[in-house]
Amino acid sequence: MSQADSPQIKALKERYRASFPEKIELLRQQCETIADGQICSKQRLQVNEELHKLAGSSGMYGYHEIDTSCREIMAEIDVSDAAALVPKINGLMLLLERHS
Amino acid sequence: MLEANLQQRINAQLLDKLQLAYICVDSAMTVVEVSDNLSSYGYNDIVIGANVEECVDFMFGFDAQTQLDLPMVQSPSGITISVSLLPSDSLLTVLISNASNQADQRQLLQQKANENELLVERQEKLLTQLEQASEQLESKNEQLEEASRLQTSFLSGVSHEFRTPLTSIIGYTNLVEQSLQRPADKTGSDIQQKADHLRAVQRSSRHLLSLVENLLDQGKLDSDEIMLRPKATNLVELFQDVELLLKPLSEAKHIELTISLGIDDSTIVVIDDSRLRQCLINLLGNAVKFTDHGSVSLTADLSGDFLSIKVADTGSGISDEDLEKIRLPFWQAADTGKAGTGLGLTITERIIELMGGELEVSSVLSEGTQVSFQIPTPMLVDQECAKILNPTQSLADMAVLLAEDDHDIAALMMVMMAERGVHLTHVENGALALEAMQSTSFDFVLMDIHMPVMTGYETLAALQQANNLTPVVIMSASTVEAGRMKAESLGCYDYLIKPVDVDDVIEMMNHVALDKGADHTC
Repeated sequence: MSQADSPQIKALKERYRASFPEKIELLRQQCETIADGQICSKQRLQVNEELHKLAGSSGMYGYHEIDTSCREIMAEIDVSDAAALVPKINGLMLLLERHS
Repeated sequence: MLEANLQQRINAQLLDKLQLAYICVDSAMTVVEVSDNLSSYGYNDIVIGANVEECVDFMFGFDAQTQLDLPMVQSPSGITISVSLLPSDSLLTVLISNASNQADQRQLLQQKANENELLVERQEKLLTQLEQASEQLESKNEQLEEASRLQTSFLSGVSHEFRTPLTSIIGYTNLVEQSLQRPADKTGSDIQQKADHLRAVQRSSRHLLSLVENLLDQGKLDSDEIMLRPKATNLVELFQDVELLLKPLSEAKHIELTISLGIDDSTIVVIDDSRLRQCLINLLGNAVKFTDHGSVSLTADLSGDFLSIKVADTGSGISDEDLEKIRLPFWQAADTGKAGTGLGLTITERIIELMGGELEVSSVLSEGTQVSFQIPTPMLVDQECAKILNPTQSLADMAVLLAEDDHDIAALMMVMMAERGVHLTHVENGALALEAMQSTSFDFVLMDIHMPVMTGYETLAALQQANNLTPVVIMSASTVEAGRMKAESLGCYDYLIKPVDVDDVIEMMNHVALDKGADHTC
């Protein structure tokens, strides 16, 4: 990945970057549902799985800070207020924008 | 006459009352007179003129002069009797009395004595058990105290072990940073130097990982869970890697580190390279740590299919007493002021044993230490080496399945692998993977854990149940050790944590291809 990317890899990376806001929005909505008071373990599990997927894919696409941040949020899911997670999830977008 | 009869009756009544009976014998032991009540003790057949030894058992062997008391004799009637032999003139009177009361009392006493003896025995047994329990408790206590001491020593030492690669990382990143601050130099040598430094950083990072694995290995040591994964390895490159890793450490201490190899550059052997590297780092790391002046040297020779390695230092040496303890886990020499985990040598010894060798340590205090071992190391023939040097050529023929529900990851993996000449068949979950594996014979499977319909664990379990031995490499974003252990218990070939380095995947495929081509066992 550190060597010059092939056109195909470049295209995939572009596609992934473009799909990222949608992924974050989905996560944010899921967290907000929990924050609205409709907390259930299934929802927490869903958020956890989405974050797990995001950690895996972002790491593969070279966004290591996002990967790490996702893992940190996952560690907080069971102990933090769901509302507190929303700003952290929004923060993932900032990490994406910061990544040149 | 009347008086005599009266006297006889009185005597008989007295005898009955006192439960006394008698037999009178002459000097020839012939019965001359018996009391009428003798039959009450079961002596019915004793007649005048008979030899008493023949009709009374307990009289056998006695003569008429014998004076003796036999306190407890069993009579033919079953009554316990007391017998007194009373000689007078030429006659011997055998006086028999009922001793059943005494016998009962004696039996009772005996019973009590037996019971007492039993109680004493039980008490002794309890006391012994108590003593043993106390000793065990004391021993456990000592062990706990020792474990506590070792744990404290381990915790203080672990930071030092981590410092070695961290020093290397900091040193090389400083060099890169300094070079970036200099005026731009786009020459090939400068770029090459930076690349070398970054490679050293990468090696140290890997060593940090291996240290963490060392700690995990210690847990596996007790349960014999350490496994070797031999693969085709260029030995010279491996030794160069180790030298580059240890060089900054030896230079920081102004110690000369030399590595002398009697091995051809192109030699490829089958060995678990990461385990051998782990052993060499442990041994050389120890040598450098305990050497304050002089040198540390490693010599390696490959003779036949055996690799001989000797690490020698001019360090502080080890006393004979300590030589016996150095292989114990967490053990560290006192008074050296050197930190460490105390695990390196224990794990190294175990790994070398698993590789079929034996670690030998000799040392002279204040002069230095020598550690050596020899392990079987099968060399690969030219044709097999060609596969290593040009792996994608053989890997291109392999049928590889990718089970991954994340389309972004799947797409990236497929492109990156295709760029290395490997084409993947992609499915989105474990159930589809099983279906695909039923219709096509795959050589290698890459599989995610968290998938809908059927997870990676469930798929591994189904493959295990079907006795399907296709190598399955798990790729998971989970860093939880329990996940790896679960996958390993279900027979996965290896476990990679996302982000996955495709070069690692290629290396594994290459190993699988070699295993298929030639059955190498180490």
